[in-house]
Amino acid sequence: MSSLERQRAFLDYTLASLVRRKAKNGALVLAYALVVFLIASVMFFSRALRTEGQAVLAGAPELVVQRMLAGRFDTIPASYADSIRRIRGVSEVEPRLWGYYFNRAVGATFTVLGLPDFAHADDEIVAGPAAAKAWTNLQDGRYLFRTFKGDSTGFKPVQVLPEETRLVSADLLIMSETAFRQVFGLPEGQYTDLAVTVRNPQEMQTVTEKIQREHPDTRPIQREEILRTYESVFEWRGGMVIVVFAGAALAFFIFAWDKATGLSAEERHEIGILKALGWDTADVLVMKFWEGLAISLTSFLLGTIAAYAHVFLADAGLFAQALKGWSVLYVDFPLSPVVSPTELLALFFLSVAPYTFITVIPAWRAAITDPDTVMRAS
Amino acid sequence: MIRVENVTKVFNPGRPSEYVALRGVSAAVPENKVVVLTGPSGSGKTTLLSLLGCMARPTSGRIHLGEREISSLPERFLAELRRTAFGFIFQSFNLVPGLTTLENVMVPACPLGQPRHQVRDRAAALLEKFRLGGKIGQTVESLSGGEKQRTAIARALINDPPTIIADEPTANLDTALSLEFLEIVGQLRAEGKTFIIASHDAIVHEAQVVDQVISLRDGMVVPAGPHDC
Amino acid sequence: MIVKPVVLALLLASGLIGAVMAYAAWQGVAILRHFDLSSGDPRQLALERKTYLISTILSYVMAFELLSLFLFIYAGEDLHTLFVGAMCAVGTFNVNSYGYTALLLKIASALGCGVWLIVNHLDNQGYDYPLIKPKYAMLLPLTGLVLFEAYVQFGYFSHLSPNLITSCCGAVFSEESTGLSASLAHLPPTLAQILFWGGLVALARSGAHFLATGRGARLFAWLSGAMFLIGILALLSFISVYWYELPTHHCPFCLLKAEFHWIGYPLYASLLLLGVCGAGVGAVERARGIPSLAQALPRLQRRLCMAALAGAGALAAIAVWPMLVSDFTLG
Repeated sequence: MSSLERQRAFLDYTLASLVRRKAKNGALVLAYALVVFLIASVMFFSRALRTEGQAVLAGAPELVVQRMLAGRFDTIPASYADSIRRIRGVSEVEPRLWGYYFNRAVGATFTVLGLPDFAHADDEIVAGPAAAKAWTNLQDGRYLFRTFKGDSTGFKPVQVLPEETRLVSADLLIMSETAFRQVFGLPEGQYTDLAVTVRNPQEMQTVTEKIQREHPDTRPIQREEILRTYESVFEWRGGMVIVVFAGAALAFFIFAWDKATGLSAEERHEIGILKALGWDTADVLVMKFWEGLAISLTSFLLGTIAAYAHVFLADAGLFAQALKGWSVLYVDFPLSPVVSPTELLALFFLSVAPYTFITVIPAWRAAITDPDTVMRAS
Repeated sequence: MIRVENVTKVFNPGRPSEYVALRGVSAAVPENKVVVLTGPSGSGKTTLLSLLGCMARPTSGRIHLGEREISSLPERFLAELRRTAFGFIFQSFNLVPGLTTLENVMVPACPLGQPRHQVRDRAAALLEKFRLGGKIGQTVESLSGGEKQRTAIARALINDPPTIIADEPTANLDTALSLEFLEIVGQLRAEGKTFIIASHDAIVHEAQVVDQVISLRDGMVVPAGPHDC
Repeated sequence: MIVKPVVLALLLASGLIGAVMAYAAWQGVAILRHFDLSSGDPRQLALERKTYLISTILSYVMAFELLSLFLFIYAGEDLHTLFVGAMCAVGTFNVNSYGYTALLLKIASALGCGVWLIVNHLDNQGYDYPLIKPKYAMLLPLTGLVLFEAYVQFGYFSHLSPNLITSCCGAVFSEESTGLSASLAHLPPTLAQILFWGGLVALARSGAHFLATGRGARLFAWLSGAMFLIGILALLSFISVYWYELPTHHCPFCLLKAEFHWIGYPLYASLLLLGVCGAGVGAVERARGIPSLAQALPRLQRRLCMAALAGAGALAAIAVWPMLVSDFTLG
């Protein structure tokens, strides 16, 4: 195929020609790769957080019922659980006990869970991996809590939860129901909220409406709804950071524009030679296309690989704080590497499309150099 | 046969920098001859050469390449003619810096889409013919003046064009190398090539190999000289 | 408005495409008004050189339109979790009335650019710019199309807000549904099959006639265009069903997934090949009788016709393959 051979000949020429201007093209590729790296890091990172979030919520109840009092979240009586259990389609209702405990000495908030069928004794406690590391002020090997009355009570740590569950359990402390009520002063028969299981997911909406009707003072929350909120929050953050980085990208594209328009005399002369030797404007444009593609793809690959290493191997050290930032305990967990083809294509668009369209006019300007310039110059 | 009829070339028309390079020039270059364009600088010989070589279009007048009228062809057809009908040798050689000798010779063949190994073999054979077989992989900066000139000749021949156009080919060469160049011209004419050479170098005008001299002055042809045949 | 990388990418690309197309159209108008091959004017030379820029822009636009078509579908897949009731891209596009319009406009823009590039290619073969005026006249509506597509896509994303309730592909293409897509999907499979196979036979017949005699180019082009639409219809109506082996699943996007061997890609590629090349055969027919194209035109048309027939053949093969290898039948 002669048109393939032609493309190959132009590609060969382009590659040989790029290698000659190592310093100039190297600087361009580095700047370009940096922009790709920044955008890709944000994208990989927010996707990873989102995936973690989904993993967390996969184990969460489909429907949670909270009681509202004066527009605020309040405890819910056990009697509600009984009446909800009678609604058709509901297979199980589990009253839950949980809350937050602020440890003044270490300056961090922990999530505390009270279980009715806790496998250990009432003065023992199970801790999440991050919580176990953070709770440094042990007394005689015990976790010391200040109860709601102001006195102290100690718990013996018996188990640390495995690393895999890090995002959910990182700051988690688990104790028995009795111990929970003793620490927080929650009266018998009152719970934090109810976890409801619905037999057929299609009936979820009906069940939710029924609960709302029977107990107008409650707020049922579906897991799907949390997932969606979660998604929009993460994506929104990622999107906003990209908008911020658009500044950096813009700076780069101005640089690229400048590089492309500020064609050096030497390059112009070279294109003049090619034109004189029988290259058409279209041939020079093809060569410029291969040049742009080589630069874009190299930068794209470099930037993407660097971002992958940054996010998944170096735990996104550059901006983890800004993006995660909701609790001091969440700082160090390795992210599971997830990269979606959609995002790679989006990244390709965000980086390659502006470069392509910005360089097309300068490339054309170079390509229309008169072939007889080489003769007039001499 | 290449003929120009009443050709005018005006640069920057209508501007203060307007400059008339050729005023109604008519001339003909017969096949398999060596024709020299001569004249002082500014006489229009380079402009005429670039019109003959399809590098620019005349402002008015006609150019015929064989039977074909080419003065108003779109650019891409002119480019096609440049790479198939002509080979070019420039005053300052105009080799592409940074590329090897072989790559330089292959440049005019890029747009043809011939299989690469064929082009490469042809380029290597040409370099061998001009005693540059040992310099194939070297970048052109490392070549001497005579080697550069021979590389430029090899490049002009890569697409096997019937006509070679040379602009002041001996300007950067000493006498020995100039004579060597004229010897190559003689060989190639014997192989059937036509040469159009712009030069104000006496060595070139007086060479045995030259069939015809066209003198230009102020953009017009000066009546025939002694070499005319 | 949802600020997501993939949404930003699509908006950015359509903005850039719109801007360069508007520029190309503006230059195209200058060419339409002032192009005069007999003039040796510097302006004429400048205009001739502009044609190179415009063809380059159009090739890039076409490439990015095609890629953005797929990115748009992926975005639909990716965003579906944000909407109640959406289980895949179908639901996402249904969130507001812009969704499918944007998708269709994208397909139309890519087709339009393809046909333009074919005309451009032919024009470049003639030494006197024989098609320059019709070519640049065609550029204007094409630019309008591309700009409108950019606008509709922007409208789609700006009217997206999470928690809107939509329907998934099960609902959109189901028996109970009454929308246009549902009625297309529920065109009785027998009717769709008759149209599809009948159309292919007619297309092959007309292609053979054209290749043998060089006549009937317009008929072939119209048949190709019709076959492009029938192909989409057949895809919704029975091809998808055979590939999914589920009588109720008519989704046109799930075919792009790994579970179905990415069969959607060759399927859509052959549809596009058929559409662009088939329409191209007719689009260049107006050049018949132009002396400078007397040799190039028949050669190009033959090649286009064969490419369109190859696309149709591939489409037929993809449609028939699951019928041969599986024992699933449509009742």
